[in-house]
Amino acid sequence: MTESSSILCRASNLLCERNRRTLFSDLSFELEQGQLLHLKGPNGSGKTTLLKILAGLFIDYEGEIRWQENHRLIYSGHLFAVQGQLTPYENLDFMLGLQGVVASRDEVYAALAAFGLEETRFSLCRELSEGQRKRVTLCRLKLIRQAIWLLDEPYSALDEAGTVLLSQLCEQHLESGGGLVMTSHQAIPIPRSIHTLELQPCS
Amino acid sequence: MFLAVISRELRIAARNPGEWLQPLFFLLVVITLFPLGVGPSPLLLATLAPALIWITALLAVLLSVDRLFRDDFEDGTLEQWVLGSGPVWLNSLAKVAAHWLLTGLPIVCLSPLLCVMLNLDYQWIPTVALSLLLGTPILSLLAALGGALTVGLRQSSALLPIIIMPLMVPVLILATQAIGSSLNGGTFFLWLAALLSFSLTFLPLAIAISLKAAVSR
Repeated sequence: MTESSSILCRASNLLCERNRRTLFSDLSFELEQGQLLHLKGPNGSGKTTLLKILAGLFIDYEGEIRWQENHRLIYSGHLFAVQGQLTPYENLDFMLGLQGVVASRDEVYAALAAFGLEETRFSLCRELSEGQRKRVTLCRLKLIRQAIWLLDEPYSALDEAGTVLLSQLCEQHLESGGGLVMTSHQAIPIPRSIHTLELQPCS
Repeated sequence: MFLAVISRELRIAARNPGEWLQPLFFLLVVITLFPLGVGPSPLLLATLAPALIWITALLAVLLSVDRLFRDDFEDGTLEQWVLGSGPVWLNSLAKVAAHWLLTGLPIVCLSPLLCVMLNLDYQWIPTVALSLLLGTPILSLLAALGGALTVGLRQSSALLPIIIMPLMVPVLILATQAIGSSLNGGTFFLWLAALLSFSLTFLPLAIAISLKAAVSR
């Protein structure tokens, strides 16, 4: 039995209907500190919708979600929030500002370098490849210390080196007691116990 | 954050000048062509000038607003606005301010030239400029509201003018009346200023609500 204080989020009896179709009903789960929750399910089973509900972006659902007090989260969805006319640094600086995080120029450059983007420092993001733009948006994970990460298909578009980097970052996050919810069609290459939540398409 | 949003917008605009210059070119082209169309009657032109300047300014603002929130919606920046720690209305206000700096302010600066092109007497230039200075921020705010309401929709460019035009009519009436009657007191300017402060207070909230609705659709 875990202490209640280690529970970051408790969702009970979630029900969501979209376009007159029940995506999931009577869905309950908990997210504890240091826990990785893997949302699984076929396309259209409501994984992205569930993540958006957790992030607070989608509010058309029934049920209850209780968060730990003062929870702060990072949501990284299908949309990268990377503006093509700006450089990776400018994009990150703006995203950090939105989250109310102050980071020095050097810290941001270090994060970009860690993600293998130092070469692209002076290019505009529209000149970058899909995978590189994904890396720009994932740099937030390194710069913003937030307890809960909600990642939607974080491994898509990433190459092998990127996959390793992201996995290391996730591992550090889990070790420091953070919670992580992610959807992924691949097996998650993180050597920790992974709790899987299977979303079945409702008939 | 307010300043960060503005500087981001200005930076994007500086790297993509065609987008914000287009409405200004439109304005200049219409004002250039009009005397050729109605014939070279100085008196007629001077009579029509206030209305003409204002209608083209209004259309120029409408022309520029379709993309105001579109890019940020499509690339997910608006999602991060909603999830961010700052209030969405403040970001919206910053966005509108940047839009005004790129559209409204240049129109105000161009207004002496427009007055000369339409044979309006020099003494009217400050009046026209003042009406534009008070009126174009309202137009930007209203246009941003329209942009926010239609941002997730596919037919937005057709829907936007229909939603926004009726709301812009009072501004047009007040502004042209203000220019016409400025010799006997500035009551209309006061009305215009009142409308501006009202819009400044409430429209950012309305824009924020529509953006949140668009993101969570």
